[in-house]
Amino acid sequence: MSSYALEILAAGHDRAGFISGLESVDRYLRETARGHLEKGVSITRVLVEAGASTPKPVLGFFTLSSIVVEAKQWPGAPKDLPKQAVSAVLLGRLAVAECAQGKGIGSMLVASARQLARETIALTGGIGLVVDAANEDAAGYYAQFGFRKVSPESLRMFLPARSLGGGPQIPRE
Amino acid sequence: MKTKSATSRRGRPPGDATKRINARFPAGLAEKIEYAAALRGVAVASFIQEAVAERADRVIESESHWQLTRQQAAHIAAMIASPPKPGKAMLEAVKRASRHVVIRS
Repeated sequence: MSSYALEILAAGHDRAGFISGLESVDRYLRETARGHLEKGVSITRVLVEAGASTPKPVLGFFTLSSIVVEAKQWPGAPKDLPKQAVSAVLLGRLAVAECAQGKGIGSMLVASARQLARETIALTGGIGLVVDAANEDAAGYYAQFGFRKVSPESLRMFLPARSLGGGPQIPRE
Repeated sequence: MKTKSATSRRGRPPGDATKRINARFPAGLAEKIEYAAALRGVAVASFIQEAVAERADRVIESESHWQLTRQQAAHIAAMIASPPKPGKAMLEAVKRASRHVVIRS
């Protein structure tokens, strides 16, 4: 019996009640996430108690979209990566409600995002999972899961597609 | 065609200015903006519009498009060539999620 369910953001989720402590992220969930979903810009999924009734309190959420990665050259690439653009999955935002912190919710969100990214890449291709850390603390958090900064001055991090496998499958319903 | 017009519009919003955005500025910043606009010889409103449109373009672009420097591309290529194996933290997270989470679609 699962305790939590990961659902695509919908009207039955209590967006207004979500407080992570980072106002820009809370506002995104409140005001922008559903619009982005409807327009196909990105997909936001929320973690709720499996048995919650509406309006369901949001314990945490993350947003995935696709991103085009371009480079004039890929120095030292294994088999020459194409000179034109390649795609990747972007984990743009991930946050845990203040009231749900300290329960490993964040790590389960990261694991879920990783599985969904792996499935997306298996279907449509992609070089890996890109994450935008909100600040240095967040960058440190992602680093423990294997994400690496792509340049020291940037908060954008990367995990290649072949690192997205391993471990048991998160079940679907 | 589309990209071309988007590029030429960069920093210069198209159409008539009809919509008002209310924003308060600290006195010091307001003076600085007025001074900078005067140096450029443009109206304060168009100075703000240009600066903000440029920044907005960059923010929007960064969520869908990533232009790598040579060094960044080298770093990513190296990671693709030898992908790190999932570590303890990731494997524990996956295990926990597989036990406690169900994905509803």
